[in-house]
Amino acid sequence: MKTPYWVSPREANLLITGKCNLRCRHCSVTSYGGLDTDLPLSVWKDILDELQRSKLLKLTVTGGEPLVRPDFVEFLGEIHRRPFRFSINTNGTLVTPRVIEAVKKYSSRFNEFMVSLDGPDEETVDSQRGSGVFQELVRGVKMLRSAGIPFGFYCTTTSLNVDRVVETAEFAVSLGARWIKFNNFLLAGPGLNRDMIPEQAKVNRAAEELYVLSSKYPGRIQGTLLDMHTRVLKYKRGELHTEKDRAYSCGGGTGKIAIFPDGRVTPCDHLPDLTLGNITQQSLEDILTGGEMRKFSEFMNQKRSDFAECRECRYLELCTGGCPVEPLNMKQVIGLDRHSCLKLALEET
Amino acid sequence: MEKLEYAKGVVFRREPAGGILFNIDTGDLQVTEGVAFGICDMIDSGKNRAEILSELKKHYPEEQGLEQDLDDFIKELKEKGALV
Repeated sequence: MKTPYWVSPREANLLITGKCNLRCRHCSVTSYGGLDTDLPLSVWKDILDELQRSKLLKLTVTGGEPLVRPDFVEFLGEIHRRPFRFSINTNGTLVTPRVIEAVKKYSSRFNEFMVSLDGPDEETVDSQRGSGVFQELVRGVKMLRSAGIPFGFYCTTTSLNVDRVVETAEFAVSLGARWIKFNNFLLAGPGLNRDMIPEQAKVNRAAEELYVLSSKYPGRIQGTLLDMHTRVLKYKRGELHTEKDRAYSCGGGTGKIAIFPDGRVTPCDHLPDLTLGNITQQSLEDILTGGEMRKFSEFMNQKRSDFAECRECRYLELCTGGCPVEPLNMKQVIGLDRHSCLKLALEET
Repeated sequence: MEKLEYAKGVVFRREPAGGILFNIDTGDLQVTEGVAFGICDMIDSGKNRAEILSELKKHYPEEQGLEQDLDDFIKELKEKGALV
């Protein structure tokens, strides 16, 4: 009974709009600009049908800022009408009683709100996202909490907040978040400022502090910073094993895809330029078995040892490979992913 | 001919190895492999009990008790709420 078959990704990020009410300094989506074509709901219904046919299970509604769409509530209704679980990724500033009412109505298939939080106070958050944002997002989050709607936070760790991760985590917990994920700032757009890249030594220190804090809040402190620190500790205990010699390791295009506001499919929402096809014109299977996806797979399957900087590294065999976003955005044939580099995590103190 | 149908909100999908039954309403996930995967896949493609049994007999001509095994598996899926 074994026959070859195509396996669709399980998840998709739906960028239902390119528009946003904020202008965050670290946003890769707005950094690209030009995402002004929002497909109407009638076309998104066809896309949802195609995702259902392809048996995707989980959708994350995102943008831009998804709540700026006037038909956002109707959009949720269309998702709920089909067999998907879903989450909403938002900056939290546009939560209204109507949104709360809709999410409660569709709660049987709703996972959670994923809200951006970059710091524990007005000064830190507003420096990254703009004046007045902190107050508005706290207002929105308190509405979610009052309504009993689950939510967690994403914190993009930049030079502006890397020294304040513990306070940020404590603040998130005090607001009632199920979790907070501290992720690395990706230089994932042409307009992004290199000054926002935090010093590696500070990142390592922040990861260590979060690791200590995580024992106080089991399971609630998460993200790529903590994942890397866990690998560092395993290395020190001699628990890391030899890994396959592969430059990159992620589920982009295989486990998860992104669908942009104009219907373009990419492996990840941090790769707006890497178009695999357009779901308004092709089936998902045709897109993900097509030539562009093959090229992306070939890029992903390069060897770490083909990269000069990694070839002589003492940690080469233990390295898992990392995220391809920064090398791809810098148009490199192959390159180091700073965030998954064991050498940087171990030796930059 | 017993028609077999997944419960509302239950999705069967193929995975790189085998498949999964996923309950959209509860988030519960059940992994299926080997013959169980084959049966789930045939249910998903609309085959009824008799058609599935016929396929199983074709693939496993030497196997005894296939009919009982199939009925036990269908019963198990119903008890778990995966089949109506």
